[in-house]
Amino acid sequence: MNWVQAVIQGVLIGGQYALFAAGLSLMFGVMRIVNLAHGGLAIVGAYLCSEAIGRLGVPAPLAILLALLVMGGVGYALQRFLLDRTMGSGEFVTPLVTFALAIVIANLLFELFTSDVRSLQVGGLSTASLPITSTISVGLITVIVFVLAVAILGGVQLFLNRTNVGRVIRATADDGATVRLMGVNNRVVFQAVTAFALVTATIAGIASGIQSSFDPNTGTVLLLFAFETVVIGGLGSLWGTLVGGIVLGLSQTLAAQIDVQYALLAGHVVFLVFLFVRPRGIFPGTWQG
Amino acid sequence: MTADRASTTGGTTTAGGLLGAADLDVFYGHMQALHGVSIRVDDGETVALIGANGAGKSTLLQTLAGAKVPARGTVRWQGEDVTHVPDHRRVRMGISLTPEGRRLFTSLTVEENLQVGGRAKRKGDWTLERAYEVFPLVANLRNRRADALSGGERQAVAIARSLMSNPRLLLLDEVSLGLAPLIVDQLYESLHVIMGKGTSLVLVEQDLGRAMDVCDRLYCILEGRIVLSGRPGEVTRDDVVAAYFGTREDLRAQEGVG
Repeated sequence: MNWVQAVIQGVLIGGQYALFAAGLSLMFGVMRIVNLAHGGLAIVGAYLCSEAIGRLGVPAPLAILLALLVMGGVGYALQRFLLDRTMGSGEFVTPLVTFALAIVIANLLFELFTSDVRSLQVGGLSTASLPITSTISVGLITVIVFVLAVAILGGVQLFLNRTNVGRVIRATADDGATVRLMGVNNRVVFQAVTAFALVTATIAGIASGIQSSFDPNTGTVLLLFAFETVVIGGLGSLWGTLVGGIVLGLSQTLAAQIDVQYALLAGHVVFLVFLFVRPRGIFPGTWQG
Repeated sequence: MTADRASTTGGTTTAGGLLGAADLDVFYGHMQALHGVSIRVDDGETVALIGANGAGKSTLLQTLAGAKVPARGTVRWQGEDVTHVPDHRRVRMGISLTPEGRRLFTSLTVEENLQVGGRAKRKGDWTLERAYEVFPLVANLRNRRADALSGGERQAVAIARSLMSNPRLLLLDEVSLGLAPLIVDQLYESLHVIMGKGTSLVLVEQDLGRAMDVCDRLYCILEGRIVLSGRPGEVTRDDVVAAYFGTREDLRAQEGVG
């Protein structure tokens, strides 16, 4: 019975990993940017939300909305004023810059909010559970996050495949210089993609803050999971990202059934196995559903 | 005005015309690719650029399209200075470049490539249907992914994609490079339709005979300089060949080539 619970938990936590990884995958797919600050920025979103609720007394739903808006703006500014300038300067510059940004963010958060562990209180969401059978129940928030993840990833994939703007984004991912010759400003596409990536990261960051806890260094761990998810799923499609997240989540929860301390290790081992056996992931390709 | 032959044989290089580029100096880092290049394209005219590999033809097209910004000199479009107008905005003004190497969006289908080409949303009669009519080759491929095409098919799709923005001026790089003669014939049939509609063309063509056949005016570029220009009736094939290889006496003196 515990194994069934572990499988359900694994799948559900996979949704959260996929949500984290989606933005990473999008930014790499469209701009070839490896954003090492992705996890840190997600945690900034969680802190924003926490401050708005705790210090300003903003109602939780509004605080979440505010955090998403602010982080979307941060994404736009980040792309426009920082990443855009690094993109033409060789393949190592952008990872270095985002790595530096990750360190700056972690230290700023430490300065501002100390290393105290926080969690987000949104109604009774952190403790509410959803009974599945008489003996198995899962956290309501994990279910909500999973449903959100499926909706967002599926929605984005459909958007990319079926809409005019989605088509332009795929064209930009193929050849950013050539879309300019079609009258499209690729920079605007980049700004929109980064803004959207940070919004999804913030959703995942807030969800993780409600489900468990966070401190200034949580971003590093989240980034690692997001990377593993992307590699396992393959950069080709966002459905792949979802599957990657589920594989990672399952390996952790199933290993935890044997011994809790194997959970993280098992996730890393599965990731490494994929890296050796199937380095392009389960769904290789380029943005085709 | 510089003392280039362009100014003496090509007539006025800046005044009037649909597009006029004057005294362009273009650099790649420290390497100068164009030296004081001036060219002019009139409404409805077809202009050929002729020159060896690395002479600067593609650089010139990119500068006219706005993908490359000149260090000196100006580009005028219908009398307006557009030297610093970026490429994506020049498309909306009516200048469209089919780049070297075709540069199709490889993960998209042929039809999707054309649809992206129509993003500029200029008014005109180029639609998917019209493109398929003028390029029958493209019509048969509409649902194929662009990375599964032959060279000739790619070129046809690339030209059709450029036309989807309804340009007044089409800049065509390396029309026939690496393509089978039969395909090239088909492409030129389509190009004649485009010319017949009054669209102006600047094309880079290695096939000298073909270039002299279709163009109203030609420019020969050698090592980043225009060394000869004129109408096909005014310059002979020998003149052009000499300009291509840089074997003209006056040029050798100017370049200091032994």
